[in-house]
Amino acid sequence: MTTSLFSVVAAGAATSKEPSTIAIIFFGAFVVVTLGITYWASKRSSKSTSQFFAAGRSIKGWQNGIAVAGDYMSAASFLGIAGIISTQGYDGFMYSVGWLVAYLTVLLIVAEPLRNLGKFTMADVLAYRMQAKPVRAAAAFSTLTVTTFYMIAQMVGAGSVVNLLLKIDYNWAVTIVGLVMLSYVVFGGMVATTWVQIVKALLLIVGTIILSILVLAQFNFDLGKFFDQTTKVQTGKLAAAAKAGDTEIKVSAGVTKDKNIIVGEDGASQETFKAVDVIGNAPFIITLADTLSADVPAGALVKGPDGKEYKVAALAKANTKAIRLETNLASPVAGKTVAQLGLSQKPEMDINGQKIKAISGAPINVNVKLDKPLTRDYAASTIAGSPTDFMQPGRRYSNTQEKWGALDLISLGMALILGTAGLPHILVRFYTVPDAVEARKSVVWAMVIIGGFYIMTTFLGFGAATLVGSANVGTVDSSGAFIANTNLAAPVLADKVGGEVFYAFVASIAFATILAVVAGLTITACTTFSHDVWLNIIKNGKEKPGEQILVARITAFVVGGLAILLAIAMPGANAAALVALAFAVAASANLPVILFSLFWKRFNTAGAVGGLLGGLIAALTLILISFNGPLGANAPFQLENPGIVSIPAGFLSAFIFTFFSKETASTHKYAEMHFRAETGVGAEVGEGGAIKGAARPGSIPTPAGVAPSTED
Amino acid sequence: MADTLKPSRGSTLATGGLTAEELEKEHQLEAIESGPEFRALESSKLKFLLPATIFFMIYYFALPVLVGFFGTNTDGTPGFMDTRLFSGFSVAYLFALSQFFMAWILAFIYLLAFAPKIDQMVRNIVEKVVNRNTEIADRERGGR
Repeated sequence: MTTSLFSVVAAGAATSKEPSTIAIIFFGAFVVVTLGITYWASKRSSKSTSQFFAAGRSIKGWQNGIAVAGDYMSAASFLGIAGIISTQGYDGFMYSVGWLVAYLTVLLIVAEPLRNLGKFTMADVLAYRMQAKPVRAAAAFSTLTVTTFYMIAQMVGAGSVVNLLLKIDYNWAVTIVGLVMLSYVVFGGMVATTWVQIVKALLLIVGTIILSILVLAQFNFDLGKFFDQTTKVQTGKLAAAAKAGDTEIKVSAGVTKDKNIIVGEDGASQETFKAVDVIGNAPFIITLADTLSADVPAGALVKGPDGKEYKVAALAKANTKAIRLETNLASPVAGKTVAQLGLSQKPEMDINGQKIKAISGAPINVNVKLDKPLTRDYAASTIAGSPTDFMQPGRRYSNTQEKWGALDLISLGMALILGTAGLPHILVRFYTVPDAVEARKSVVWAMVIIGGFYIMTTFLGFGAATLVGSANVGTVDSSGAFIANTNLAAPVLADKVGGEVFYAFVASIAFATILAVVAGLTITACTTFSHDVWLNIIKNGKEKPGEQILVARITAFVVGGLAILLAIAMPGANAAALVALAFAVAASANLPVILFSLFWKRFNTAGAVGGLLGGLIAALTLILISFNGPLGANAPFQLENPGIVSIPAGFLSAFIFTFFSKETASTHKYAEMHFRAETGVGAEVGEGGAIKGAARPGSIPTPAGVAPSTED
Repeated sequence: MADTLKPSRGSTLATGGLTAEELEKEHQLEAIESGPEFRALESSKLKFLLPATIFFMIYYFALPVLVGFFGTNTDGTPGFMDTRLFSGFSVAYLFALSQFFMAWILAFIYLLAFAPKIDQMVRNIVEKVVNRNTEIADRERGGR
């Protein structure tokens, strides 16, 4: 689903901007402030496991709500959605909707029982009435899978943003991000991680509000005008400067013969013509998933997956990620040439024997004959093109674009709405509050913030499309060639409407966003390993003081180190598939067993293990055999998102495996578990919960005699 | 941790080995667990949460279904969902936007109108558990 979200930040190119001192100051300030928070938190976090893993269960509901929002609004939300709307229009907004409505599942079904039943991890809920070891092992495996894939994607993105702004080498950028994140987690535990999320969420909201206001100001705060512009987006730009009197112009893309072509930005400087003819054996530029291992000379032949050959239009240098290809079409029409290669399915190209996937592409330099001469001069890169209706649904997902387009949209919707309630790094946040009532409040707080943010993606995405122009969302590589980079929509838009300082601010927010999410993911991985695997599987639940935290810290180094190495090893488009994997796995593996465990008495250990592994395998397999996998366009599974198949597969697997076992203990303990889930009797309670709980209005006192499991 | 420390009534009843106090507590707790108050709590929650969940799932999935199948006609012309209400503002966008308000309204109804009632019911049940436990503990102390 998030395929197009990450691919290009991951491509790691450089912007036209020089390394910005202002950006360095913003970056530095954020790092200093958050490390300060970590220092403060480190004094509190080492005391006990509940301090380290759950911030002493002392985070207030509204604070946790902001932190949940911070943990949730990752690079995919901030950079990805703005980018996808700026290039694909309305369909990109589907992500925004799904990612908010998903919280109703969390609020109504999962959050409160989870808080009442568990201690530190998702597995606690399952282990309550099942055989602890197999269930914890399977849950830990799926948690670590989801978290690792999610994390590598974020690291790859972070490396590119830092690389972009600070001009630091990609590998160093990834390493620095990894080390800063590790210090939050290792020294500050959950307390520091929570406050980093809060600072980041507030920054993100402030930045997005300012950016939205600046965008609307360009339309004189007239929503009618704003929405009107979204229906005539110019998807191309002038490839060369044009002079008054010219009747033929070079346009990058997005011109249809016999249709109107609009040249120039909205306002007095804009002119409308008719495209009398669209000429040219125009080459188009393909962005590759990996770097070229050797120079590819002009005139060389490159093979597409269907065996069709394309001629290289200009020398492509080694270690770059772009190649220009001639098209064989007599009169290339925008979109058509790209469709020939089937770029949406990421075809694997054979370039001098090197197999590289093409991840995006755009035709360049189409010559357009106008019906009348230009009346004034236009600079190169001025937006131009046939007006395209970006408000029209189905520009990405519809049966006219893709064989199963409508089904893919529904599949995406399923993964979005069901994946969130199975994301381990979101679920663990509910253990940081004193009780279920606070957990409930924190979900509603998160919904207000996340919803507000996602509505504003309208202004970010459509703003970038109309003001910057889809064709100008991207960056210039070292050779001076423009490389489309949809994930830079928000920063590029900020530059356009707010100037360089604001650009640096927004780019820093992107960096903060990723850093915070990575920290949240890391602490989740550490908690899972330390609590589920080390303590409850290896040590049979016998704990030594301080040991768990030590194990978690060591895990943090391992996880962080691994993420750094993997991000360095694969700076390409894989990151996209990884985020998609994370959501699909969460929805297919984790959610079915959480729901069955809470609401189905007959459910047992075999069902839980079968459901977790079945959902995991189904999701992974379908992604592998889809066109995002190694098989490319010829893959047997023709949906981008596996959700519509793998989520039912997860439920079915959990259901079937339940009947393989005659285990009865899990059934006997259902009543007890259900009672605790609904009332919180015996639940882990936070500061002020255990003793002062009865006095606190709105909270549920813990009964003195019901033996709440003690905090360590 | 949670595995080792939590009270596990199902199995202990079978093995015995409990003090009289513990055994009675277990019995009384089980009585509360299956008592009318808890059953009332369960059914109240079900009566709200089940329809609410069905409602939001249908409302949400209507969006990708309608947009996917009725956004653009197979011949490429705008479908029903692409009807424009004012300037570029379409039915599809309005429906997408309405999802946010649907989610917020449902969340606040749950938080402000429904949950407080449930919390009161929960408090009553918890109070009952505490009272019984205190009573048993007192009796036990008096007997010594």
